[in-house]
Amino acid sequence: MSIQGVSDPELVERARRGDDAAFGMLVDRHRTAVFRAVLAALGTREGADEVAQEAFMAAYRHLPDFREHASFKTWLLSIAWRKALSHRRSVRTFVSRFVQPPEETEWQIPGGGRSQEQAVLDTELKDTIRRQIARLTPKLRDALLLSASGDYNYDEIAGMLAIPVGTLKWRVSEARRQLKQRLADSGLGIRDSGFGRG
Amino acid sequence: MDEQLDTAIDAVAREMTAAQPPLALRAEILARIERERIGRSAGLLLPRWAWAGGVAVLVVSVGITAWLVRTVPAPGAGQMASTDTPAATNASPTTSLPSTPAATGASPVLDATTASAQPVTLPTARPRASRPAVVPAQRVGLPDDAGPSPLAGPDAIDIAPLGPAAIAIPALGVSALGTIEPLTVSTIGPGSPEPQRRDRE
Repeated sequence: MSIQGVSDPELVERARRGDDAAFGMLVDRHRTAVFRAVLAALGTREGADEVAQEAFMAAYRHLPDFREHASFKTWLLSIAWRKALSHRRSVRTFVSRFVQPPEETEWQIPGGGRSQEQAVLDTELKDTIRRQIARLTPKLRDALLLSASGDYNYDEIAGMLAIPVGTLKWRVSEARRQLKQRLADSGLGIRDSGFGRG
Repeated sequence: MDEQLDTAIDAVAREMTAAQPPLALRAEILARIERERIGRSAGLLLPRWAWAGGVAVLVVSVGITAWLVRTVPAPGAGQMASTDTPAATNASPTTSLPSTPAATGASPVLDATTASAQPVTLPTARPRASRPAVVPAQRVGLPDDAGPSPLAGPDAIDIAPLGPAAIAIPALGVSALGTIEPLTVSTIGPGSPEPQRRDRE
């Protein structure tokens, strides 16, 4: 029987009974969400694969403890988030931040139909925003990155961070406010670049 | 302008988490699950708490065993205590001296010939003067008429003295000191020579 159209609770029930294919289907469904949550917490791909694997393994081991009052995705994301925070706090990660510069992710310059000067300005603005996001406090940065990723709704993020939805919204708003203030202080406003214009 | 800045922030934040997970994630996870299952069936890959619990039980067992070994009297220890003199019982905890005048504190002079002429009984357990004597049957909760405890051992063994034969040491005599003559010191007056001091110059 195919498991393509089976719901998460049904797959969880099958996995509890020892059906590894069912758990593999759950991995396929949620691996992107888990991986991006881990990436948002760590800020680098280094170690993200391992932490994502650990999160899935922990979820598999604790499947008997899973209760249906929350969705499997929210439960899985909360596990992944705790694993990622634990990794972030570890000494190894702390040291690697100083020894090795953060990995450059795929920051492509949107060049379609724009002049080279505009593309350079866009890149400069992006780099500035990226640096300012990295300088936010972890609470504000986590909330902003998770909400902007587009992979989770507010309820899922609030469940991950174990905070009320209202607190989450305030953190996102506060992160944006601080970013705008710092960008204005740095003199790199949106008028200087062609970002966002066709 | 504010909306454009929000758009830029959203775009950058999205790009910071836009990476794709490795394609082999599912296969690696399923392989790990299989390895865990095989290891668990073989009993080699128990959870950490199981190993920790086993170690804790082992440590407690060793501790209890060590305590029991120290508490249960060694074979013959009770009989040895009954044959020793009170002075010898309160003496050094490692060696019981024979009951001679030297051991009872009559004279501080050690007579080597006397000390080595008699057999020495070596104790095998520490004497416990402050603790009341406990019959082994009471220790294990058996009635007094239950017969001898299986832990009761043979009687005390007399061990012949080891080492070379005794050496006869002649008595050493020390003559008494005579009286000390008092010293006469002449008084220092104004006319007597006095060493010059530099600090007075």
